[in-house]
Amino acid sequence: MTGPTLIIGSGTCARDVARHLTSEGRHTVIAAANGTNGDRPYLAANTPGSGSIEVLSGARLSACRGFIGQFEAMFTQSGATLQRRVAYIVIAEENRRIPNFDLYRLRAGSVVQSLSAFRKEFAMSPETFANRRVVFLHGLRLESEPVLAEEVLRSALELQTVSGARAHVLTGNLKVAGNGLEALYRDAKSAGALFFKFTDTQPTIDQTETDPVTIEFRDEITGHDYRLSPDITVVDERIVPAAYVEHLAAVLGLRRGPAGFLQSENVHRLPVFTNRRGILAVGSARAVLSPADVEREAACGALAVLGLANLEGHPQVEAAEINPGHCIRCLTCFRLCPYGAVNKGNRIAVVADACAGCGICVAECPRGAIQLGSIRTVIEKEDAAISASETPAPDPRMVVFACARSADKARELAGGHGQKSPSDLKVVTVPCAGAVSVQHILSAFAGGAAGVMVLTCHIDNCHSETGNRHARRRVDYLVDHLDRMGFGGDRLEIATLAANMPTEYADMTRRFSRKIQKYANQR
Amino acid sequence: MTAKKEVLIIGGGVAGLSAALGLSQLGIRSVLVDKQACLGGFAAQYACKATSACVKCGACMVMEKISRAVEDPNIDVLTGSRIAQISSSEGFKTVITQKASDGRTRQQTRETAAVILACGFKPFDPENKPYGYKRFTNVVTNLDLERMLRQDSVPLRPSDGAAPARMAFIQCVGSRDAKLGHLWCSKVCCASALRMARLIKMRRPATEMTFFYIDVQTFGQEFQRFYDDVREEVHMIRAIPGDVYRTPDDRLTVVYYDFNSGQSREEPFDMLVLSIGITPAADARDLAAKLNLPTGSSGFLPVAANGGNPETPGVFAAGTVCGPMSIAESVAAGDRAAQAAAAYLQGNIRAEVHS
Repeated sequence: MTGPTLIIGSGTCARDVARHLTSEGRHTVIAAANGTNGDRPYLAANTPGSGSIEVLSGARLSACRGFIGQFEAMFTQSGATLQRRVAYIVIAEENRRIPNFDLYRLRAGSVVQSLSAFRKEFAMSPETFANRRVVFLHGLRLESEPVLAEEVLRSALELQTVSGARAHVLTGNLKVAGNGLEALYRDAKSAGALFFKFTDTQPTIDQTETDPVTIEFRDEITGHDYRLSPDITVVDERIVPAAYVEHLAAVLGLRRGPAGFLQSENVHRLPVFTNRRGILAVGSARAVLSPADVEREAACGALAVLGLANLEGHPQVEAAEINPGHCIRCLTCFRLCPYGAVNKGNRIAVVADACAGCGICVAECPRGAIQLGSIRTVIEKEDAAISASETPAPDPRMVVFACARSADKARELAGGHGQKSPSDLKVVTVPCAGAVSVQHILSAFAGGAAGVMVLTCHIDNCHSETGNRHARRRVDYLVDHLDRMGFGGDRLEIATLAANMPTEYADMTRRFSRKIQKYANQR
Repeated sequence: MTAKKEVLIIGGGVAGLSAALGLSQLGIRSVLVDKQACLGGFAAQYACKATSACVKCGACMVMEKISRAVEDPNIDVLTGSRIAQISSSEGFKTVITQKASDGRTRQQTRETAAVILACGFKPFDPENKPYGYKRFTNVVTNLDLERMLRQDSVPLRPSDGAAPARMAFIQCVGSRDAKLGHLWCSKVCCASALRMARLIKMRRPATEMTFFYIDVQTFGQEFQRFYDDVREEVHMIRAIPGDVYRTPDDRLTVVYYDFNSGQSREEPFDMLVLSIGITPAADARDLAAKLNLPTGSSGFLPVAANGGNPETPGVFAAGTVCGPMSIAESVAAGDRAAQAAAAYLQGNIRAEVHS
């Protein structure tokens, strides 16, 4: 049995992950940076199965060494430092909301509230809102989210039905892409809530020192002019990752997405994986999700942990290996490994359990000190293939280095669809195009190829995050050199493909074959 | 303990594949049944919509999942197969009929400890909508366009194979439609249509693109930027057209109410794409009924059944059987069902050990 799972989070999502894991007999440690995450009696009463939950209240992760199966996590807890050895880490932090007061030039106060503040106050004493006129500003300046739309719609419905208040919703695109939201919208409308949609226009919102807020606009549908003087104006919010999430990404070496959430939004990481094996991101830490989605993700996180634990000792891929005799400790591999799988201890080593076998380090190591069996076999096969095809073919000889996850799958599909390929085409399947080194490409030319193509994934779709960028950089460099040598830079090309692009694969290889026709039989 | 700890998964689309792979990771065997000849469901027919970079539609992931499932010794894949009978009493007994390539049918009975319903959705049939689907050949659905882009990389008019100079998308066909009783947004069509529009724009920059919509839905973390860009490239009209007719020169005239001028307007197009909604599949309803799983008023299975339904132990639902969802959400739903089914099996084993 492996070590416990560290769950970082101060809310229900973290507790849900822990409960799923304890019911499967696993031990967990919850590090709740903000608070206690449930008191001990609560957790004792809610710990199913034979596992355990240890809660580190107010513990903030300060550093983390090690890799999957053996992380050493350091925390600061009210000034003191403590440490736990854990096998896996699940980040289940909450997100943060920023009210859009600034976008509407409004000042927060009793007559202007954020959506969250309003929801809280309304839940406590709905009766105080009787006969009040409440205006919701939603998605007018920035696009909103279904999570926020749900709160606005529910508030509008409840105001109309519970308190006899009057709800007006001024909205841009109404985000109903959530479970039950269209029905909720209809209910709110039938209950008397008024909806005004804005497409190309914006309401004029005014808040002077003494007067309440006034909102003027022309309804886009009816053309009627409106002037509202709401008792309360409720302003929407934008949802951003918690600041702690940024800190966690830095401490754990995790890639973040375009909006800063803890997953690079790379489709290969779905649903809860990160670029580091053994570290998972669930719920609001990785995306803007509804409460129901967050609950689902807690289960996904637990499944991922159980899956990893079950596969322990059964390596899924062949890992890269560094030959210590050749290594000069330049740390190129450490810097470039997208999976954070290189241990820079007394000896630089690739941690087999954390390695995904992409081969970027193999191609980049300036001393050629790193070996990856799958790539060596590939190159040997390639040499054999090139020297074996001595029978004359009508098309020029070309070598395609194809990423196993994208281009090679597209090639398989193209074959299945009966798409025609050039007659003298050698395909070298590589774990990632980032494994294709300058030497590999040159050896293909040396072996008699008239042209070489490197086929990789689209930007932001690379399983190894940066493999396709490395491949492009090397190809660009070589094209330039081949041109200057008078060998013809257009013999070498890089293109992007996805697994579901068989037609494009066939088109690309045929077009390239025609393009390099002029180099045929020219050694 | 006699019953085999196996899980029956009905439907080999994204959710079913994810559930099977999730269970396999835990060493749990599953029988993955799909009525089609190939795994992958609708998503396996979708085109890659990457422009300069991946747009995170997730369609490429389906290919990888299919090959992993086919090679996985824990997953027994039965394609071209239907559920002839299913009953539950101390586990589930299922009669599966499989059509072989020689046209003969083979029947087998499988006993499993749990069932995951992942039989997907039915695309809305737009024939009765006033957009001329099936009457005018150049009116296609978003699913038709997906297949077209997958096959030919660019859209071609079905009538003459020409490149359409002016294209329009009509959103919410069969979704958000109170008259039909479809009180739901299909969630994925704004993303799919706008991504396809941009892809076509990139491959054929001269194509003029129009988008008729009610509300544009958010997708992805970078939606704001995507939306700002797309409005530069695509003519966005917030209106749902009332009528479409074919002109003598084989174009399509779209009639809609223009709120800006307060008048009805007509615009000609060469090709029209209807974004058809996600609707409940009839076979899902039948199977749910046989397993006593209640169906919601919308016709979809309850979302909560993803993690199991207390009244029907051992029955789980995943993916679009529970309502519209994206590929990413279907992956998560498949995982959720796998986790819940595994916990259920674990509970069963524990109960047997205790007794």
